[in-house]
Amino acid sequence: MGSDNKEPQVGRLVISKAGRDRGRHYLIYQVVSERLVRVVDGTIRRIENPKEKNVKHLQLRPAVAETVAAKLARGERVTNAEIRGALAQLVEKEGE
Amino acid sequence: MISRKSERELRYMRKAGRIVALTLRELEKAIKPGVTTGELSALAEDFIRRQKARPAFKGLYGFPASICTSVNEQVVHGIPGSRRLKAGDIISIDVGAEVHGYYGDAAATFPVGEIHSEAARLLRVTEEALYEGIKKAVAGNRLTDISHAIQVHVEKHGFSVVRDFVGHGIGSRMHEDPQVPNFGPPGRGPRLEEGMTLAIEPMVNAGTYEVAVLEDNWTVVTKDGKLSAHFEHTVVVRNGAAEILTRL
Repeated sequence: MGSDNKEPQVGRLVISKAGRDRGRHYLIYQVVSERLVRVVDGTIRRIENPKEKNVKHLQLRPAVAETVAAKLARGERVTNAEIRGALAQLVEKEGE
Repeated sequence: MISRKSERELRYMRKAGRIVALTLRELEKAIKPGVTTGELSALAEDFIRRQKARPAFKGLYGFPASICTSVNEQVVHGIPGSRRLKAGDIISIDVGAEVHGYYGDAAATFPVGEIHSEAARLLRVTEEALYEGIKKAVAGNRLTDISHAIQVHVEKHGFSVVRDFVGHGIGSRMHEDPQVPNFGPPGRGPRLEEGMTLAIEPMVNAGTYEVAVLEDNWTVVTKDGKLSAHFEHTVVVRNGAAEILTRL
């Protein structure tokens, strides 16, 4: 099954591949540049303190948190609770 | 992180790969005008389970079926259903199986009855491109040596390689690092080492390389509606020629 050659985009589920947070799931909160994004998980990395990650150090997953992405695109506020909820849902959907 | 597999892991992967290859052979026999893609999927699922393996695509990222069936202008990730094949169609079938937690993944495009000579040429060139790529999957080479070899072969024959979907590492997950593009300059990316396991899979379009995803969120089609073909093997990088796990 072909792997999606994905672009970093707001709301996309990612897994850290490098750093002390390796293995942790996040959602992309902001795309800073082609190479740099800010990610959040709503608990350790909250919206008020997102983690900057090099895209190379993330595994981009196919799933995107659509409701979170839509809200952010409209410039609306998203709460840490919403991030946690959306993240948990996507991680569970991934199954394995 | 690109993992190198131990011999024990490779034993499971060989088993999974063999089941994938056998399944494709069964499907090839069943492909004829009048059969539906859903029937092919049911046949594959039943066959894989009888080998005491699990159809690996079912539920993967939410995919609803056991195999991907992509007809004519569909590139990859077509969902099997009520579509009936007719003579002159081409159908790409992608199969994955899991055995003891290890995966095998392969695809091939088959003709349905008699097909147009240009369609036949697309199938031939795509399969050749896969083997051109596999030839470069040798320890010491760089990852994109594979990518480049595929692109060169495809474009030499006037076709184009899909950019939006790529091959991948495989092992205890269906998709592992690294991504294996079917295009780009040679000599880039990680150096290949013995025991790395890759799913190499050129997706080749007769026209533009641009693709779109249908409303079902899965089926990838060519933007210009022209034909597309897809061949894939799971291979192990060796010091000499790569070992192909999904070939009988």
